Amino acid sequence: MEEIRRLVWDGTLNIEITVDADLVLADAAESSRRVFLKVPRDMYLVIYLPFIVARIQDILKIDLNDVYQGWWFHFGGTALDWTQPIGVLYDSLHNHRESMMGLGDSGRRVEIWKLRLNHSHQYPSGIIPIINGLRQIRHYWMHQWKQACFISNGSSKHIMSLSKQEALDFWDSILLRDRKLFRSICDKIIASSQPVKRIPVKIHLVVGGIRKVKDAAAEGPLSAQYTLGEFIGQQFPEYFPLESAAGGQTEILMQGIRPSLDLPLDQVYFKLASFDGFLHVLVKVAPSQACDDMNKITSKNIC
Amino acid sequence: MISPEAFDRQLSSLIPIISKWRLCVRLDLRQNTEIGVHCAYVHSNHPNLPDVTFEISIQFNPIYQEPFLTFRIWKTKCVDGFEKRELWFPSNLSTVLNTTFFQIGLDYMDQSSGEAWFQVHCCDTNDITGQENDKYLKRWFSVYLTLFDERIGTIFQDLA
Repeated sequence: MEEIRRLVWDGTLNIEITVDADLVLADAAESSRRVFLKVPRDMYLVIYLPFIVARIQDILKIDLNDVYQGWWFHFGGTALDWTQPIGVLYDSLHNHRESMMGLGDSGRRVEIWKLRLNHSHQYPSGIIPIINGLRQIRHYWMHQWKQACFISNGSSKHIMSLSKQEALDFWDSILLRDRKLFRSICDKIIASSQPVKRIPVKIHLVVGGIRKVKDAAAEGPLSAQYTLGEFIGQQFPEYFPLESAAGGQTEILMQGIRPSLDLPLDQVYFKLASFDGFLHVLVKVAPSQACDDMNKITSKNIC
Repeated sequence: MISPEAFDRQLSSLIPIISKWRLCVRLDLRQNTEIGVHCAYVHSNHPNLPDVTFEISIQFNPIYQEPFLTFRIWKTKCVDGFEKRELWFPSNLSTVLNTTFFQIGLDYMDQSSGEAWFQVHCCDTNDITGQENDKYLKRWFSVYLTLFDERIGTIFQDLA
């Protein structure tokens, strides 16, 4: 299990960010508008805004009071929801099937995800404004953990019992990429050695590049044989009939991989859960299959 | 905690009371797939914020099995003689609301509209509101709506 956790933790994305031409001086060179980053998949992209803005500030023609406020990323016209791990957004919007087909004989190719950076007084639809910088981002992340803790244990006591120093260390472990420290505090919140009441899952239903999120807790007590396929089949019987493990054109992704649907759900959670305490499950549906199914997903973001 | 059935039943009986709230401008029931999405528009009673209105939504949270409060803040401006209403996201909510007892974050996204709302985190609701009985929601209202009006309790006195 630890080896898979390490691979998940170490997973990275290469990103090229180009700041919108309207925000920079007319004589700014094209190359000076670009910033290249290698970022952990399990991270919020907005964490890197101070670094990115520092790289482009000499060519900006806008006044900045805050390196977080007003900025937003987009890909192909889709504004990126900063509250989801960047790897989840990449898997949602990137066409894995096409990129696999493009591999050379060596099977290796450097993928670069090309994003645009924009800035405006009003954020586009689907983006939560950042009004309190890194503090807000930390609170948001901690709040996700409170939810995950409540879902897993039936109360938030485990996380509320962390000392102030432990809570700070927990956040620092993310910023400093200290996996050992991160795991030690994770285990105090949701112990992998004990059965969980429910499993915290966020399902991202992606149809034709449009993503909707549903919080779905797999209800316990879970049997050891309760599989990922059964869980998804219960959530989306129209795409994954329980009698058939195959999902046709539908693709399931977690942390950039296609897991076996026969794996026990609790094992999948403890191996592939994200840095926010949730297992992010991407269900990518071919547009022809989708019809009006997007309307079936409703928001249940909770405390 | 409160069951969804009790939530709906108690909310229905409290709506007429809430509509008499001195700051309440409008009360809507939004038909939704969720249980009990109710929305109220409430004037600010802050002396320095006469142009501020709160849009308050009350839903049932199926995971916590608790009432769930989200809100947005609208500011009315006068532009070229015309009134213009726009959303306001103050970085320090305590200057606008009575936030002392609550954990609040700008972290709720309405998936259908793509709009951001402040949410009052409900992970400690049970500790604040106590055990369920037929007056659970009344207690919840009388505590959580102090965010907007410290005198909210007076509208429930007739129910005692």
